[in-house]
Amino acid sequence: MTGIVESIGGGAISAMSSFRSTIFAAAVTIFKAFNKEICNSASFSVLISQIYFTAVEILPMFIAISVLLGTLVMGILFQTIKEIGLDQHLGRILVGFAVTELSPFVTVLLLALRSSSAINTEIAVMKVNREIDTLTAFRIDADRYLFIPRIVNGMISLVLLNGLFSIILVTSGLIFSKLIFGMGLATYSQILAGSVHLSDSIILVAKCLTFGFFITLIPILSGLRATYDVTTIPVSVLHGMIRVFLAIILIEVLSLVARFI
Amino acid sequence: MPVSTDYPLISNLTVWQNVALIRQYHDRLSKKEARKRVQSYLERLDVGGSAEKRNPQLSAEERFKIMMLRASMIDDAIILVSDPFRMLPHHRNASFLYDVAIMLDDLYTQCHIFDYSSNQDRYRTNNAPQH
Repeated sequence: MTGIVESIGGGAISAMSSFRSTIFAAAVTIFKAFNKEICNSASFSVLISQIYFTAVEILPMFIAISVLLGTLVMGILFQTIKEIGLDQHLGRILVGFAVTELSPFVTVLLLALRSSSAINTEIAVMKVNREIDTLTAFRIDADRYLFIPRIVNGMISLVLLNGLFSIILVTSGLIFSKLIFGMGLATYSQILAGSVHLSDSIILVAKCLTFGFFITLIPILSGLRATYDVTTIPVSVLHGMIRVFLAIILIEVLSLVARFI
Repeated sequence: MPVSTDYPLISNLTVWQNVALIRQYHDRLSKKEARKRVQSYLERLDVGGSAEKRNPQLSAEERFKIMMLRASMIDDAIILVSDPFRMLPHHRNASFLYDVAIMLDDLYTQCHIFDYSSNQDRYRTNNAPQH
């Protein structure tokens, strides 16, 4: 019995310690991001190449998934709305569920699967190969050169890809509103415009930025936990990805609380 | 600045990017200007054609030259070469090492070589510096 309690206590202390160190690292990163030393062509090159790998290379797969999932979800959603007679709430459901909740959640999952794991592995490999030590030896701040450009890229990419997913959802909605409700473009636009609230939009952008920040920061921190032993790379990626998914759930819950209180 | 196997070239950067990074970061040189300067240094070392290569594609000699050049990129650099025959395993003496150091001697203030005493004889070459 004592062993079980000790085990639960140990796990809780470890989780709290990990949470505290992530929040501390987030604060340090934000502080450093606003320092003028970040402005150099090397960091800018890293940012541009990261945006290419994260937001451009993924486009064909992202658009295909968005069209497939978006069409399916919107078709089911509109059909259900018609069946249970909630036609008058169509706009609110479309904006409140599809655009504000579904779109960022699918976007962050796709980016986490593709980019977070890649960033985690890249940083762990750099640590094992002593390349992080090389940067330190040449007085190059890894935070400013390696990490902040990746985090800024995560935030920019998530906002942009979320926008793209939302556009595809809304376009699918236009097709299904015509097919199911016989609605024209003018009526559909009017319903949409009447359902968008400023507070929802602010929460949506803040949520995307927070998602983008943590799905890049956590893999970086996890990659840095690797030692000089190659076998620590998969362990670091495993732990990093679990933390990323826990962070996604936590941010989603907090954003829901913020929207509905 | 270290020249050692403990401080390798960054593997996801090309040769010129590895060298230019120091000037881009510390002196805030533009990418274009840094590239131009690095290319001239690479040509001086006779490795201009390797500018777009990455670390695993380099020969031991090319890698050593690039690491020496990178270490020279810091202003008033003091270069510390550690255990060079680990980087140049096929070389019997330090002749090549001295040649590279002489080719770059206007870019650094001092160059110190640290090695095991068992390798002492390998440093007695015709082109060995006085100090």
